[in-house]
Amino acid sequence: MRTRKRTAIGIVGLAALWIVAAATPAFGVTESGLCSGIGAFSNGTIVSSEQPIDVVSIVPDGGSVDYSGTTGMPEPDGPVSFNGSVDVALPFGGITVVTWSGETETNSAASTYEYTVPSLVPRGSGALEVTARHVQQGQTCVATVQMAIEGSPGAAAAVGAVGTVIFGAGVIGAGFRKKGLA
Amino acid sequence: MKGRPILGLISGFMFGLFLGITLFLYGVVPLASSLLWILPLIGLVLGLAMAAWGPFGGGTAPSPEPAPPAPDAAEDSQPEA
Repeated sequence: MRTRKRTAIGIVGLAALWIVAAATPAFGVTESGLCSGIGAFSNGTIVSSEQPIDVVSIVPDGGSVDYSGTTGMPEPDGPVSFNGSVDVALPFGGITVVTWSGETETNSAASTYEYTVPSLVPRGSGALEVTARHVQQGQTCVATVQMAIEGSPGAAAAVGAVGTVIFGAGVIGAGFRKKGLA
Repeated sequence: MKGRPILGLISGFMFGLFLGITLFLYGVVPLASSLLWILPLIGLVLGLAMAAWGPFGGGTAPSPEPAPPAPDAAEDSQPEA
């Protein structure tokens, strides 16, 4: 009986160690194309297309961001079309949070963008993998960074923790033998 | 199975799901992490394994009724006249 309990506890401990190791974020820059861009948030956070992907930038849950970017290519001779988007990766697929398109005669842009983060997006949580994509003059530029919304997890995290404990007890309860079985 | 498989299935899946959500909300794993869908599957397997293994003590089989005394022993106990 004691040997079985110790083995069960040992297996659960190994699984916990594996989970922690697998939670380590990837390292490396994800960028393609000649583009570069930078965004300065109201809390002083600077997000750059060249920062390593394992750096998590903490940004406010609303406000303005001063951005600038360049395609890295020569100025076009006339109006050229462009389009782009910002996507957030999910466990399955992703969602597009903003898109842009139009025509331009320049190879760079700088402006201020006002944004708000919906209340259902958790604050102070794990990193969101954000990918910006810009297409212009036959070139596709992609940059991926990790960002998190500043704040505290709130009641949702506490509910998650309580649920984990309750259902963990259920898993242990499943290990109790039925009556009548030796 | 020695344990309780239905309880193991449901509790295991929900345990993995809540664990993944909690790890994300506390900033341990990113939202795009594959752990968020792997953990419920691991929980499912863990719950079934616990149910199949049944490592914790449960009820024991009822003890058999004591056998009646042998007839020879009853006759020997009678004093001789």
